[in-house]
Parts: sequence; structure tokens; C-alpha cells
Amino acid sequence: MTARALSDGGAVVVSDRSPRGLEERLEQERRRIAHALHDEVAQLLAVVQLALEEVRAEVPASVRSRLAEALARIDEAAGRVRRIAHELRPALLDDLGLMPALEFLAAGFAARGGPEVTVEGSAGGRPAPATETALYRIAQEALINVVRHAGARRAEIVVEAADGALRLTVRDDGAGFEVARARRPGAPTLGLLGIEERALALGGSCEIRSSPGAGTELRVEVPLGPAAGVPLDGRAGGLGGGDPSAARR
Amino acid sequence: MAIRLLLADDHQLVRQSLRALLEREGYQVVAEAGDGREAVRLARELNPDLAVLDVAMPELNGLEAARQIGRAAPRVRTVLLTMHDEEQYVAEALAAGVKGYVLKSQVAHDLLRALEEVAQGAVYLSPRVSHVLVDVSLGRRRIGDDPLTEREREVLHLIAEGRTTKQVAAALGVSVKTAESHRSRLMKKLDIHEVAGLVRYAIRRGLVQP
Repeated sequence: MTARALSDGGAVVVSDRSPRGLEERLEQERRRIAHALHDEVAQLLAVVQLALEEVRAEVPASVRSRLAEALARIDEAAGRVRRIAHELRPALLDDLGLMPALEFLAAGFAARGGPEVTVEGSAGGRPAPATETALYRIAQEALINVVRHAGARRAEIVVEAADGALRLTVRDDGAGFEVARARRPGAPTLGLLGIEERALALGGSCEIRSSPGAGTELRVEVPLGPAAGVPLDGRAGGLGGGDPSAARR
Repeated sequence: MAIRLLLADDHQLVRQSLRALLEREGYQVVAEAGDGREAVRLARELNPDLAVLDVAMPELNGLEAARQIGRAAPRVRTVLLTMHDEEQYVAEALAAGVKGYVLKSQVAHDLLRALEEVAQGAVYLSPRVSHVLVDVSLGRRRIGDDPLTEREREVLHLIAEGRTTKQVAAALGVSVKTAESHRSRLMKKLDIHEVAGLVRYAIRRGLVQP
């Protein structure tokens, strides 16, 4: 896509073509639009609401109910704007941090008829924004997988900070799959590629354990230190040997 | 004497309409701030009775501003006025020592009521989010970056209320041994090793009232 954008006359100038650079810019753009929606459009609607509420007390009863109807529509519009902003990028993640954002994410999945998702652990303070974003998006992708493929009843998100690293584990009690088969070329990727890319971009590693009937466990570990980069030789996680049910990259 | 109030919101239009509403009701708006840092500075300088803070502000968001006002000018009672109805914000606000939480969409119904209650020393949350207060005080909900499980928070809550391990076990319907292991696990997680420290932590987290 980058190459095409450039050949189309250079309308989009991309200096950093790594997946990480692209993803970061996308995330910034999402943040900007979400912020504009939440903070400009929704705020204006609130001002209009307040003004109309004040007028309501002064108008004859016949007009009052129509005004109430209009107010209800404004409330609806404001709610929709907030939802779109949230879907683009939850303000929670910036304002409150990873753990509250994961909790809200988990509650959302459960509320939409998905499995019950518990969130536990601690990020040990606020990690770098890029780390928070990556782990949030990884958890989101993993939960989407759980809903789409696993048919799980329960899932669990655990965050642990230790030894200069942050570990995210997403576990479910669903159908599971054969990891080796999912890795064959042409197999449906289950969004795992995106998860791995995000982990590797932060100089971290990613491990999936699963087998049919035994649920799935995704473990992502990223360094907590500042300026974590991608090791040039791609050694990030090392090739974990031994356990045939574990695929590591 | 009129109640003195500080108004902080980065939208001038919002401040204008709020100011008009509040002054009509007899409040004295002593200052307006356009960002969180200014709000903290003005609160410290002017020591108003109430500070009404937007959450999404530049420089310093309303939650952090409330926290700092609580330290710099503890007499000032803070009320958040926000678009955010997510429970996580409400919980965090309570932990930051906020006394009122009003949804912007409910301003016309809720703000005056909230200010009245808070000025008298009560806590007020918009009805749509008021259940969070119950969850937090029962330890059912974590606040911010809390390493404890729900069970451990319940145990912490009971210990902070001065209950013995035996009483904790009875209250939760578990064995003394189980209660004891919850207790030692949470102490290890928090790296706090005496009860006084646990009480302080629980207060800071808003699990119990000082």
C-alpha cells in the first residue's frame, strides 16, 4: 500500500516504512480523530443541550414535549459520537492507562454476548505509550479471536511486570487449535500475524500454546525499558525448542 | 455569603454557558481556567469552596488536577464535569478524592444538585454512574493499576475496617486458613507488611473512608 501511494504521485509521503512506523502513525491518526470527535463535537452538543434545557422551562407546555423529543435526539447523537471515538481509540488508554482500558475492553466483550473475561494483574505503573497501545491492541485482537473461533465460555487477561519486562497473557477455555497447522502457508492466520508483528516491533516475543479441545493461551512479553527496538537479526524470542505444542517467534 | 467557585474547562463556550447558569443561581465564579495546570494554580491561590473541572483538558487532565488540588489546597472540594460515563473514570475520580462526578449530558439536571450536596460535605455522582460508588466501597472494583484480585480486595477492605483474620474468614464464608493465605498474598503483592500500612493503602485507593 505504501508503494502504491508513492507511485500514485507521492500524495502520501512515508519516510518510515516499517510496520511499526506505519502502525504508530495510524494510531496517532486514530487518536487525533477520536479526540476531535470526543472533545469538539460532543462538547458542542453538550452546550446545545444545556441551552435547550434552559429554554424548556420558559416555553409553553405544548412546545415543551417537542423540545424534549429534540433533546433526546441530541443525547442519542452525542452517545453515538462518543462510541465512534471510543472505537477508534479509547481515551481511557491515554487518560487512565492499560489496566482500566483492558477492563473496559473485557466488559464490552461480555456485554455483547461474548465470554466472561476477567482482567488481573498490574502493569507496575504507566509503561511507555507505544507499549500500552501495543498490548491493548494485542489483547483486543486476541479477544476477537476468542469470540470468533474459540467458542469459549471464559477468558482471562493477566498482566505482569517483572524483571524489566511486561507480560500479557490471554487465556481461554475454548476449542483450541493445532498451532503447527495454523502456521502453514495459506492457513487462516487468526490475526496471529498482527499480534506477532506488534510484539516484535517492540523488541518483544510472542508465544501461543493451544491444542484442539484444550483452549488457547497467548503470551506476549515486551521489554519495559525506554527505546526498545527491533533486534536486527530477528532473534527477539529465540526459537523455543522442545515443547511441540508451543510455537515461539 | 455566596459560595466561591473555580471553573476549569478548555472550551470557552462551555465555560460561558456554565458561568451564566451558576451566577444565575447565586454562585460566585471567582476564576476560570483553560487547562489543568492553571486550575491547580488558581485553586491554591484563591482557595475557593468548590472547583468544577473538566476531565479532558490540556497540560494536566482533570483527574490529575483534582489529585494535585487535593494536596495543594485540601479545603477545596472538587467536582468533575465530563463526557466520560465509563465506570473506570468514575472509580479513578473517587480515588483521586473527587467529591462530585457529573456527566456533561446531564448538566441541566445534575450540576446544581451536585454543587449543593458537595458544598455541604456530601459526595454526589450522576445517577447513571452512581453504582460505581457502591462497587468501589465493597471492593468489587479495582481502581487504576491495582495488582489485587477481587477476593484480595475484599479481604483488604475488611482488614482495613479493623477485622481480624478470623472475622474476615467468617464474613467471606471461607476457612481461616484461606483468609490467611489471601491476606499474606495481598501483603506480598503490595509489599506492605503491617496492618497500618494496609489501612493507609486502602484509604488511598478509596476502599475505605478515612
